[in-house]
Amino acid sequence: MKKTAVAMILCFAAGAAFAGANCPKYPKAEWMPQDQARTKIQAMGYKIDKFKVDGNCYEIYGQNKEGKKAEVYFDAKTLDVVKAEIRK
Amino acid sequence: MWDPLVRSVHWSLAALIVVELFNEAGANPWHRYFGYVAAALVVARLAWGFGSRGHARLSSMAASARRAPSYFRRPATPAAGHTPPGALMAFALWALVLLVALTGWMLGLDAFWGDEGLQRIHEVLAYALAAFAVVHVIAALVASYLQRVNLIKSMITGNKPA
Repeated sequence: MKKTAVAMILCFAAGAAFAGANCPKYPKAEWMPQDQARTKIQAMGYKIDKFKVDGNCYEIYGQNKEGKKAEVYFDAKTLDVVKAEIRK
Repeated sequence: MWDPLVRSVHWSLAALIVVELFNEAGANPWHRYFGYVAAALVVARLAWGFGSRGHARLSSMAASARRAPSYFRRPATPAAGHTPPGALMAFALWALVLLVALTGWMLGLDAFWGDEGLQRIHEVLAYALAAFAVVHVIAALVASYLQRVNLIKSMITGNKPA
């Protein structure tokens, strides 16, 4: 019985793993247009390798000002940084 | 008999697999660190499988795995070590852990930074690992019932009567 519960948790958990970050949800009309978002993110000092929509976020893979690999999630309306990892 | 290394690696891997499935992969260094720990545990277990005697030994597991086809005709036969399908499953789970860890590590390389194809491969391997783990759990329960032995308890206490 206990093992069945573990198996069920495994099944549910499989869906959770690849969600990226918890960005606030906005109606599509309120999202910053993608071209504008790219330009602003570059103006913040990031070099963008990949730009994409991940859930409620804009997400980039690229480099920060110091040239370090960066994975950054942005609020899709305000471009606040919601979550970021800078690699050493 | 399951020796302490076999048991601690088993339950640590089980816990890490569950944690990693929950653990957000995006911009989360801990997802990476736990993945490396899982891979290191498998490598340690494989090294132990070369060095140790008894049921942990890889060569005796491989010999057992080769009997899997005939075993399925008499599935209720208990074994002191790995049953043939049990040995096969252990090899499959270890291989998947190593492949998931390898693709996860590769995603941090310059060449694959943000690479969606490799991300997808990493995900599919991870889901396959989860699916195999679920089958492993169900098989342990079914085999416990058919063979009238508590295999879950034996993986905790180490005592596995033949």
